[in-house]
Amino acid sequence: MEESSSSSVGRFAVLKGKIKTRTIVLNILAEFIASILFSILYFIFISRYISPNFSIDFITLSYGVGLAYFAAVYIPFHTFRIHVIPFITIISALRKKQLKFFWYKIPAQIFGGLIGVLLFNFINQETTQVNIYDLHKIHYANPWMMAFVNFVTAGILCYGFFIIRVFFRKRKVSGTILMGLLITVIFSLTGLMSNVSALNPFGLMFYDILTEKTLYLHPWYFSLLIHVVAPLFATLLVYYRLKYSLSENGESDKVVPLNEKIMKNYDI
Amino acid sequence: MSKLNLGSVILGERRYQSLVLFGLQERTFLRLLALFLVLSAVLYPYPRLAMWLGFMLAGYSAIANDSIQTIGTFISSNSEQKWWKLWLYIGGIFVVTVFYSWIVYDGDVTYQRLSSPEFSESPTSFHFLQIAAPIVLLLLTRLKMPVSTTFMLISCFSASSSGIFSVTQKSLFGYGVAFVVAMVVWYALSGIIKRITSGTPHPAWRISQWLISGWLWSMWITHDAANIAIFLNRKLTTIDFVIFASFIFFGLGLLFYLRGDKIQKIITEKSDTEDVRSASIIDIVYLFVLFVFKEWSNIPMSTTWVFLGLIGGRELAMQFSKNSETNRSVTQTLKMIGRDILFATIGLLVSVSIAIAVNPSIQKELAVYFGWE
Repeated sequence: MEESSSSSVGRFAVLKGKIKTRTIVLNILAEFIASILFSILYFIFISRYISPNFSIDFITLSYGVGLAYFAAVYIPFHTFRIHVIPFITIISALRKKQLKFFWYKIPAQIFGGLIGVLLFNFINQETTQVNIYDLHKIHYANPWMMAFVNFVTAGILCYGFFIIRVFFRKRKVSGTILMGLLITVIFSLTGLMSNVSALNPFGLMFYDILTEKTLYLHPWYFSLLIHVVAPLFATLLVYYRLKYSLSENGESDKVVPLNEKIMKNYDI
Repeated sequence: MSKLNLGSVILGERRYQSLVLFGLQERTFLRLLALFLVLSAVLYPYPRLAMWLGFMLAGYSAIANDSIQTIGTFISSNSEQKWWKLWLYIGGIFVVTVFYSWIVYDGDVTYQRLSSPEFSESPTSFHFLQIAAPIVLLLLTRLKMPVSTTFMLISCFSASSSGIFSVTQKSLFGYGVAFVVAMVVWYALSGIIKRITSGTPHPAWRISQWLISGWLWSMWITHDAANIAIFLNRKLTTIDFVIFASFIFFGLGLLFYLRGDKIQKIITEKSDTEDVRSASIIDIVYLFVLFVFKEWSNIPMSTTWVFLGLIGGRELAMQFSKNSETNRSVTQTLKMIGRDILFATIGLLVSVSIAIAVNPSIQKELAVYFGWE
């Protein structure tokens, strides 16, 4: 009797392990496909805005980028647990205290970004033939200023993500639509500025590397500061600020009841 | 405290819950539609690619939606037959019918349905909404709405509002004629029909039903191949024709394998459609009406509206006839007819909106008509 019960427990553990592995593999695949989709659509919409053959205004382009994010999250997998943007992955990993997210989501985003840019470069060569950086009309000579803009952009992105997905508990289609709108707003504010990479860091990195456009304009440490340190710092700052604020009010960021106290605290 | 939800406030709790349930049940299908929308957004500026993408989407959506009128009764009354037998028969007729038109009309597979001035030019560029229209049609089909594929797909390509107006006029007239014909046939001949359809059907009925269905199917193709081919060049090369015919042929295979799309329910909910003799009578009356309209003019028309008129008139006649049983009250029958008309009208409004959004010349005509310009 005991033997059969222990064997069934063992079988259950094996099955649980298998399901877990399968979920992780599917998540990696979904993240990879989503990153390809986002990168390719992001660059295609920008290239159409720049190309004289299309008549697209900037606000339509901003909505296009928001829609690209929505499509990337919605299409590949039904769980809506796709991040696409690494800063969102970081803040999610910290919130859930699951650092394994880094090991399977970030590499998928990197490879997805690479494939997306390769595909875009091919399409661009055959069709629009534009330089994506022609989009930028506002240039800062001071790299510290660029770092600051990237810092603020990543901060707004992470704060918005936290509000939508955690406080509003919008984790499915409606949350993804709100995230798409957030991306639209952020892009409409920062899209014309040069060196703002927080929305599509890996895509822009590979575009830089493959087309040799801007990476070499600054010394490597400034590039690191602008594109890695500043947005990372913003992500950590947002996370710990919100965590502190929640703990001060006796709330946890894990299970958030949608009660009046939370509503009042965050002016929803 | 119950959770306040904007969706339920706007739509009402019950409708909102149905919508949420639909989203959950059809999540894979909806993700697939989103993927097609993305593909359309990426490919619409490149005519050669957009043309084929539009054709593929239109091909499946038109046949899935219109299948209720043509092969719907055939599928429901042959449910015991192997799917591939039905597919080979209907697919074979499709290939032969379009091949005949392609040969006789010098590369045109539409039986000259697109020869009127509003549609005669091959599309050289596409608007995003033109490619997205079949995706909307796929969604409406999944919602079991019998939308007119002619309105949905053809009106987006009309060069002027007169094109849409003439198609609408002919289709509404078609609805009326079919409704009256069906009322007359199923009321006046109800005694004969009852006698024919009672007892076990003679094996000859099966053969005649296959022949009638095949003929009806080929008649539908002569009307509605235009809906699919409107995305393509007006004269197809040999390679174009092979791609065109084989895609639809294999698409039909999928449809038969699935035993009709979800819209098939429109047919199965109607009275006596699974009996081979009833199905044959419906088909032959429908065939007759389509034939008259085909000979009447080359303007495309909505065969969906004709079919809804026919099926509506039949239900009402059966309701009033002493020789028929429908198992529902007059109010229920009228509600059913009204619901079909409502859905078809929604489809019409959506398609006209798309046509207006796509076409600047129609926008200008409307502005002049309403005195805004």
